[in-house]
Amino acid sequence: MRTIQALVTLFLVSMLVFWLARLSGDPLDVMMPMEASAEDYARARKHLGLDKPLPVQYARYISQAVTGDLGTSIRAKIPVSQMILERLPNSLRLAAFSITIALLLALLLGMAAAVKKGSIVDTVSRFIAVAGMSIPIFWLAIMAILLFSVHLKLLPSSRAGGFKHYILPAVVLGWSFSAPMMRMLRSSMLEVLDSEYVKLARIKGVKERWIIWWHAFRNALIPVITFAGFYLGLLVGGVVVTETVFAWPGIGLLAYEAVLWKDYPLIQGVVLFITSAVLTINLCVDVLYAYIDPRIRY
Amino acid sequence: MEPEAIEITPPDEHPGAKARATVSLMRRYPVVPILIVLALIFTAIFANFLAPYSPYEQSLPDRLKPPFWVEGGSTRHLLGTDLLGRDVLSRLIFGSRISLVVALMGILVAGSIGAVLGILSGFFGGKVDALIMRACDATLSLPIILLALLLAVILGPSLANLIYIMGLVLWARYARVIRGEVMSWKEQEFIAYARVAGASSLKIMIRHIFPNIVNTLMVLVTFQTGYVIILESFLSFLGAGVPPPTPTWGGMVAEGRGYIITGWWLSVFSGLAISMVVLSLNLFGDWLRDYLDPKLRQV
Repeated sequence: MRTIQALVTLFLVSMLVFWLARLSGDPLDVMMPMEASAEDYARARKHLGLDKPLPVQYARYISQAVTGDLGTSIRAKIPVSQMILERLPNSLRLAAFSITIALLLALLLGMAAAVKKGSIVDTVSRFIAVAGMSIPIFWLAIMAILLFSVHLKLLPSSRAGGFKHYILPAVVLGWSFSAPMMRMLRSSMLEVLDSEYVKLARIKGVKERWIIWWHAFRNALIPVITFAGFYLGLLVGGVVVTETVFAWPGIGLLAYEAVLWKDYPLIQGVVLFITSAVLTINLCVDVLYAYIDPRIRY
Repeated sequence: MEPEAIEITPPDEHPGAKARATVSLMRRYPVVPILIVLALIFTAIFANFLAPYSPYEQSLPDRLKPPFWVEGGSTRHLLGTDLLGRDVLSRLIFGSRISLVVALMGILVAGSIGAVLGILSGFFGGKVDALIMRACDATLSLPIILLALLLAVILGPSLANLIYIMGLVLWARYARVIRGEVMSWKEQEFIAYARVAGASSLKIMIRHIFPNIVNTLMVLVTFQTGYVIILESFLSFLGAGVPPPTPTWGGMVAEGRGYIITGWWLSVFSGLAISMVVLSLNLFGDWLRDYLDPKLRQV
């Protein structure tokens, strides 16, 4: 049932993206040389299949997309799927680093803030969380470059490379990404710690550490996981921003370039790819959710 | 585990009780955030009187002058000048207008669409609910920034388009949260009484359900205002926002991006302005949520 829903959503999104990409103007205007004649336009249109009605173009596109053929980039003249696959590892590595940092921050600070409510740890971690939500990530990135690359000359400011290249983008992305998670974990942990069964466990004399990590933590995670899809959306957005500022050759930068170039097969391909990835992961999360919380059944 | 010692001291005899009372009052009303937001509104309205120069006035001999406290700067341009010799402070002051207008109008569009669809969805349930929630899922699963960027390029950069984009991209969060609220309210007895008394569905939705979700809506609006300001600045940063020469905070960060070595003040102040305002809105939202509805979790 959930799978069907996800497929329907994906179908709707693909149609929307296809239609939107076309609204952005005639792709031929961008790709044809200035001196091209009307016949040149007609020939190119026919060659690319742009003379057919939109639904026909869409049907052709989607049937090819299912087999992994996302068309050819107008500007780079290479298959879109190949471009995505080339850039994908860079983005995945950056995302993996950021998620690790975000999870560490969120778990450590979120838990500490909840357990030691009202203490200095709580205040500091709340401030870190609110600041992470409030500082625009592109500015944070520029300030990080200004401080660590320009003034301290410690870390490289752009492009992918060795381990040092990962530090700035991953920390910037990880911080802003961890903020809502931290807040969420704190509030749900507080709620759980206030619940009847935790009180009962305390009365029974269960060790506090055991209560926190065994009884409370697992239940506090449930609402956090419900929002996994939301975090994923944030992560994707964050990746686009971070990659643009750090000139990181990943999918986010590709998406930005595609929009700038009006390279519509590329835009479609990238957005479709990202959305299907997000939907698939959300589906997995839902399944995982049912596993963690046995009360949920689909 | 040792039970924690409980201190029982009458509050009045406690040393420093007065200071503590002030602190707790400060905690009760987020004074600084409120002041910052009020200052934003004030500068946006009175930008004409506050700004020392026109935000468009160029002066090439004065280009890239640093702020007054740095060597080479002068008090004529307190925060320095940009690449075209325009006064950074004046552009900052006028930039607050764009942020505020986009935020308010964008929230108005998104909030109205979201509230109406959320109420309909929660009230009627069934097919209506399924349809609206699928649309919601689809919107929420799209990477918002990518969608906004795509729309901005398609529609062309302009203030009005920016506002529509905010509405189109952000309605789903409202609809989702409000639907949940409405579903619990409509099971309440007073709704049944209203129905017995002969109120139509429309009347029940407007007179009896809407007033009950206003609190939630307010909290959502506060948090989302900050988010919209960030999103707007990001689109401006990428060149998909309100086109130059109109001063926008995001655009100013972008202009300074290539000059962080020779002209750090170009992007530092505008980004600082965005951060301060959004931080204030978020802190205010936190307080508002605790104040209005402590049970309402992350929105």
